[in-house]
Amino acid sequence: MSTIKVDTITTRTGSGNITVSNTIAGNLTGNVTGNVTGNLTGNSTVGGTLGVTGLITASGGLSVGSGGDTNTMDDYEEGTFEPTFTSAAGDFTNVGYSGDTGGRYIKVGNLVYAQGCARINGTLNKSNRSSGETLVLGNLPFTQSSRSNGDNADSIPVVRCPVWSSGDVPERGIMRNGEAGFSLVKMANNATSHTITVSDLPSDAMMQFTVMYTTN
Amino acid sequence: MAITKRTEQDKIEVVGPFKMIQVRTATVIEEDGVEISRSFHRHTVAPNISSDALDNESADVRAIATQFHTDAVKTAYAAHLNEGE
Repeated sequence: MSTIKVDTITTRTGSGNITVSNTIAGNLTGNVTGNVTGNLTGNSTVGGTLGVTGLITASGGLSVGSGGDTNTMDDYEEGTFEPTFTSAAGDFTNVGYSGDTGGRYIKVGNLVYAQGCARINGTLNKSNRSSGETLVLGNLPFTQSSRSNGDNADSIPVVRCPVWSSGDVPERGIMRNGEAGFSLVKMANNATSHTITVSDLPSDAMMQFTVMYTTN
Repeated sequence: MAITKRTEQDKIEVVGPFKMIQVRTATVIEEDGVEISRSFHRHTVAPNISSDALDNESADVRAIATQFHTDAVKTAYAAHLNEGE
C-alpha cells in the first residue's frame, strides 16, 4: 500500500468531477472551510454529536426517539392574530377594537399556544343578535382537534377581564373540537346556566386570555 | 439596494367538521429581490361569518366559503357553540 500526500485536490481536466466510489475510511480531522453547494442524496448516520451553528432546514420533519409518525415533529410556526368577540350565530352589526387588541401564537407540531387580548373601544352594536346567544371569543389561529369519540377533551382557556362594566363576567372558556374560538362561561351551580351570553357583553369589555390546544 | 415589502396569503386550509377556513398571511421583506424576512399573521373564517365580513376576504377565501359553508354546516356550527357546559 502506498500513500500519496498532496496539498490541494483540484478538478481534473476533462470530466470536471471528482468521484469517490469507495469508502473513505479515515477520519476527517480538519475543517471544511468552504461551502458545500451540492446535495447529499444518500442517508448519513452521525454517531457522535452534531454541532451546527447555522440554520437547519428539515422540510420533511424531525424524527425524535423511536421514529414513526407519532415521534415526528413536522411543523413549527409563530405569528400573530386578531381575536374578536362574536356570537354563536355570527358577528355583530358593528364592533370596534382598541389598539391593544391582538394576540401571538406558537405552533409546535400539533400543539398550539395562543395568548392575547380583545378590548372593545366603546363601539358596539349587537342589535342583530339575540340576547341569549352564547358569547364567543373567535378568530383564533387554528382549529381545535380534540378527539370527539367520548373522551370529552375540551380545551379550557384561562381568561381575565380587567374591564367589564356590566353583565356577568366570563370566568373561563370552553374550546371544543372543530372550533377556532371558545365559548365563554361563568361560575354557577348545576341548576343554573353557566353560559355567558350576548347580553352580558358591555361596550368596554376587555379580556386577556391564554389557551393551549391541539390542532391537525 | 431596493427594500420591498409584500403580503400574500400563502396558506389557505379547510379544517374540521365545521369546515373552518384557516388563512395564513405572510409579510415578506426583500432586498434586491432576495427574501430577508418573513412573518406570519393568521385568521380563521368560521361558518357564521357575516356577509359584510366575508366581502372583505380575498376572492379565494370567498370562493371556498361559498363552497363549504353550506346552510347545514352553519346550523350545525351554531348548535355546537350553543351546547353550553
